[in-house]
Amino acid sequence: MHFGLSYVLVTAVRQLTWLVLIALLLSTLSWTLRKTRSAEPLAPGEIDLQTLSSMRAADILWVDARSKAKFDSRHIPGALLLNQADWKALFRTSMISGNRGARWCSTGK
Amino acid sequence: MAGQVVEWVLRVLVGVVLAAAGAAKAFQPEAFAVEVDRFQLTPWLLSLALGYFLPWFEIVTAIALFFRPLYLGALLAISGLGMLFAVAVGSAWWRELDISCGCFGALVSGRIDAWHLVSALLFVGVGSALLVYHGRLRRKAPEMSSKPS
Repeated sequence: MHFGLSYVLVTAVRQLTWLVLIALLLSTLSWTLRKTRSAEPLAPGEIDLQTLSSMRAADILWVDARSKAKFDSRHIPGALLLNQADWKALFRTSMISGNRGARWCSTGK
Repeated sequence: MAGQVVEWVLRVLVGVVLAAAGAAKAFQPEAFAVEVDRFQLTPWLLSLALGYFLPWFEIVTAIALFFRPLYLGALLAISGLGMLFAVAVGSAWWRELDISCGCFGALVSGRIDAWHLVSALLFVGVGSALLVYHGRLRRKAPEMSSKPS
């Protein structure tokens, strides 16, 4: 690696550090602003945590759309695994009652 | 002269794509974090952190392409982003994950295919080529180093 390219790379790494710091600052500001902003109104069919906690556990079926690995690692007790990757196999073996409100979970740990 | 023209064209093209990609995701970081999580390469907390960080990093890099004191850093960032994207897309493609790219947030919902991998490698190529170009300029005329025209 000749001198010119070495100098350019060293300079580039130094400048990249500044770019990372600036982006970290902006993303931290973004996170802070979003957390302090008031809650968004619920869309039709959505419920908040307070309403959920007042419902009877027997009236709720949790459907977990995450990967099997994440489901096996940790999931809400009684939740049903039904993800896109294994949809056909899981759907055939699942039993979803039409009388209960199904709640979908596709994010989180 | 031809080299400078090509360099300017590449800077504009890459800058516009990066700025658009970053802007499309910067104001919906949680949604982008879900897209990142679907690649199944990172734990959720890291996906969330990347959901907040990456869009702003793309925007800052796009601006830095036209800001002389940070120009070389922007080129290195483009190569790094391209490499990161290539690894993620390649991994998802290899594991046959049926997921969308998430590159432009909710604006574009295309499924991952070979074109995404090619695009990522193009970014790596452009960033690396321009760095080498400036390295050669520096070697020929040290006083002209790091001078975007």
